[in-house]
Parts: sequence; structure tokens; C-alpha cells
Amino acid sequence: MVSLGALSGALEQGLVYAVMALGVYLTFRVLNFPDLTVDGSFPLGAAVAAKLICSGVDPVLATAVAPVLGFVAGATTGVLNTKLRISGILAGILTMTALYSVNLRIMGRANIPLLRSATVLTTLKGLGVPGGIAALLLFLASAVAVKLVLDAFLRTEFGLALRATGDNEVMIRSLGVNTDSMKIIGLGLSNALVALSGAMVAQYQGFADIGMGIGMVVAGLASVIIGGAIIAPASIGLATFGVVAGSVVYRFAVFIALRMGFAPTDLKIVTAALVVIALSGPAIRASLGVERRRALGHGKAEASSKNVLARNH
Amino acid sequence: MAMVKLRHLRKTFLPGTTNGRMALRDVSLDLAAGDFVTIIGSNGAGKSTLLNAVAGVFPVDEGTIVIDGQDVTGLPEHERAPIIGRVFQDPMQGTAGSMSIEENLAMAAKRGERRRLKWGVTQKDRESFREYLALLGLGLENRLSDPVRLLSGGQRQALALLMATIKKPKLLLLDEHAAALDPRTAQDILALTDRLVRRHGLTVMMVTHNLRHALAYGNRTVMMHEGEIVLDVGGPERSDMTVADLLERFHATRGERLLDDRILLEV
Repeated sequence: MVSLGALSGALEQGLVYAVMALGVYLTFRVLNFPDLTVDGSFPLGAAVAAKLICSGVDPVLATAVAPVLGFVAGATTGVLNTKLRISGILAGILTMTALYSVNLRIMGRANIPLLRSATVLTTLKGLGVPGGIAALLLFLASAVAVKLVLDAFLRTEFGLALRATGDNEVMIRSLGVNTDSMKIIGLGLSNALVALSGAMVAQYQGFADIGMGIGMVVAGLASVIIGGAIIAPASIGLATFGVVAGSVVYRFAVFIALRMGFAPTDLKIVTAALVVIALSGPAIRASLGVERRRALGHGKAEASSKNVLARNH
Repeated sequence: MAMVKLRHLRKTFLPGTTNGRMALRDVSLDLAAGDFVTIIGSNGAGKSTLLNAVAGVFPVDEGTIVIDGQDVTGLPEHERAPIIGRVFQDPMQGTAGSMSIEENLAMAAKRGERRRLKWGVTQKDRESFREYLALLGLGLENRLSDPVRLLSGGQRQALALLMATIKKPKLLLLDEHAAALDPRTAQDILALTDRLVRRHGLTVMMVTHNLRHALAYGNRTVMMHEGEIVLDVGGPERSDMTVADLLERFHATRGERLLDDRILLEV
């Protein structure tokens, strides 16, 4: 039997990682920028929060510092890409690689345990929230708040310019927007969310680890893709809702995979395969469609007669 | 006073290489306020290069660009946007397909202004957009929240024209903006262009491949060849001109064939 505790654990994870997935959505979908900084900025947030908490800083404040450093990390990738003209993928890889050293410097070692430390969760419990639902409440509130703020942000004048930078750079530049600045700020905001998620995950799981960011961008992308598949992104609000839902579904899928006997270390290849299947869908469908038309002996004749009909209408 | 003053513009692409090409060699041109200049010439004559240089897509090697008394020669493209409106050849390029009609118009209405954390589209905006879109007679005023990608090429180009003029520019640049459309839609877009230009009293530079359009629209026609202006006609001389005269004038100036098959076919 699957225990209720295990299920609510998957839900908690889905919600806390949703904040990261919303960051990935901002770069991959809105800015149309494949940003790999995420694998470094996620443990960056965890490292900063863990180190500060261990140094006696209030956990709420420690958590709040994480997105600031995350912003700097993302903006660095943005500067590498726009000012130094390094390709987007490589710029992200360079920042991510550099962050490995930075994160180790911050932590001083590869792992900081937080099991006996005060965290945002113990702060909540101190405020009278029952221990059993503290994590669920906090992560639900975080995911919903980030989603709503992101929705509103993307509908402001600034948000419109950011979206247009991802959609049509030539046009929005002709309308007077500095697209370099847009990319730098967009990457910064995205990685601020990723680092915030990292800081909360560290406190939730009870440790920060140098390797906790590996495969994070693929997991985020998987959530974004699943979200787009289960909820048609007809508007910004629906798209971000889909991302949150996608993150939850993804964590449940991980939970099920583990129950089926996959080793935790095998999950990366399962996730990667999931993303490959999702991304290759259109290409495979297109080639299958061509094959089928050929097999049926239609193809051109049918297509052209359709066009004539369309014109007559 | 001239609204636009282009002085001795030079531009060489890929200088110092075997592929080096002098795209603009000493181009000077003045436009009075309200001038509507049509620019013609064969492929590679430098028409689009001239428009891009004025828009600031790339810096010129030499020369100065002054618009309404402001020297913009050293400014990047986005800093020239407050005074320049543009429509591109490709209807996809002038609009953001994933965003709605009202969002596209709202971005255009803020051309060259600081983007703030205020609502991008307000109820007041929507009312004025509806009124403005009704000018097109395409029914777009009832589709404000539709994503632009659902529109046809002609509808997108009409929207792009509205966007370029919704905030009156000191100079409107049109780079073969009807060339990618079917003949009837192209005609509609040009008629709309004429209407908007008159309505706002705009100063315009319009590149076209079509000699008939070059004479039918605007009050001046400039012909370019190999990076230079070889003909500049206006006034009564131009009003009496036919396409055949225009061709002849060119041969007289240059003594060589200017026009490629594409132009001749489109005459």
C-alpha cells in the first residue's frame, strides 16, 4: 500500500520544485532561451541558505538572500550571451561550471546537513502551524504566489517587452526596447526563482549538497512540457498553472518510478527519455503522417483539391 | 528646414575581405517634412542598406544622419525608435505572433518609451485600439485578444502599419512592405499606407521593386544604383512621368542596364 505520507511527500516536492520550473518556463518558453545556468543556480540557492542558516542567520532572511544571488548568476549568463556574444547554451554551461566552484567555496565542503538547524519549516511550526502540513502549506503558498506574481508581471509594459524579446527580437528593437537588457533581466529573474526553490528544497530535505543541481534543468523542462501537454496554454495564467501542475505530475511520476523499483540514480535517464519523447513528438508525427499519406496514395492530389475548396469558400 | 538630412553616407560590408562590398558610397539625401520618397533600384543597389543605416541596424562607416535637427548617427537602433517607425517586408517580422492584437498595439503605442511595471493594456487602451483598428475595415476591432499568428499575411502587415504609426513617427521607413503579399492585398496595403501617411502628415522613405507603385505613391522618387543615388525626381517632372520614362531616364544617366528581370516583370 502506498502511504498517505508518501503521496503528500510527492505533492510537497512537486510544489517546491514548481518554483524552479516556473523559472525554467520564463527562459525556455517566454524568452526562448535554452538556459543551462539552472543546474548551477539551484545548488547556489541551497548553498547560500544552508551556509547562512548554519552561521546563525534567521532562516527566512537566509532564504531571501538566495534569489538575489540567483539573479546575479542568471544575469551573468545574460551578459556572456549579449555583450560577449557567446552562444546561449555555452554561456549557460560556462556559468554553471563556474558556479560549481562558487558553491563549494560558499559551503566550504560538499555537503551541509540542516537536520538539527532552524529552517523556514521550523519557523512555521513555531508560529503554530501543525508540523504535518507546514511544508505543504509553505510550498503551496510559494508556488501560487510566484505563479500569480509572474502572471501579473508578464502583463505589464515591461513584461510585454520581455515576451516580445522572446517572440520577435527585430520588431521589439524597432519599437525601442534594448533586447540585451531584456535578456539579462529575464535570465536573472528566472534564476532568482530557481535559487529560491533550491534554498527551500535544502531546508525541506535537510541538507545542501554540491551535486543537487545535476539534471535540474531537464527536470524543469520535463515539468514545463508535461504542463503544456495536460493544460493547453491558451493564456499566460493557464500556461503557468500548467507548469505548476506539470511539476506535481512529474514528481508523482518519479515517485511511481521509484516504487516500480528504479534506483534513484536511474531517474535522470528516465527523465531525459521523457523529454526526448515529448520534444520529438512533432517530428515523429510529421514523418508518420507523410508515410501514411503515401501509403494511402493520396498526398499531392488530395492536398491541392483541398486548397481549391478552401479558396472557393 | 529639412526633416531628414543624410550626408555622405558610406558603408562597406566585410571590409578587407574578398567578399567585401561597398553597399553605400557617398549617399546624401534631404527630405522636407511631409516628403514621401519612393526608392527604387535593382537588387544590391543599396536601398535596404540605406533604410537599415537610417534605422540604426548597423553603424555607417562615414557620414551623418540628422532627423528633425537631432544627430542620430551614433545612436543604436533602439535609441532611434522614438522618432522612427518601421514596417518590414516580411509580415511576420513586424508583429509578435504569440501575443494578442491588443498587446502588439500596446507595445507599439509605447515606441521609444521606458517600459514600466504598469499594466501593459488598460481598458482605455482597448477603446482607442478598437477605434483605430476599425480604420482598417478588416474586423480586427472585434478580435483584440486573438493571438496575431491567427491573422493572414495581409492582416498582419496592416496591423504592422498601424503599429508603426500609432505613435506618430518623425520618419516612417517602409522596406518593400507590400512585396511579400499577393497583388490584391499589396494594393490594399499600399492604399492603407497612403491613407495613414496623409492622415498623420508623415515623412516617409519607401523602398519598392515596383516602378508603377514608385510613381503612383509619394511626391518624390529616388533611384539607386551600386550604392549611389543616380536619379531624384519630384514635382511636375515626376507627375508627368511614366514607367517607360523612368527607365529611359536611368539609361540616360548610366548608359547601362539597371533593372533586373524582377523589376521588368513587375512593371
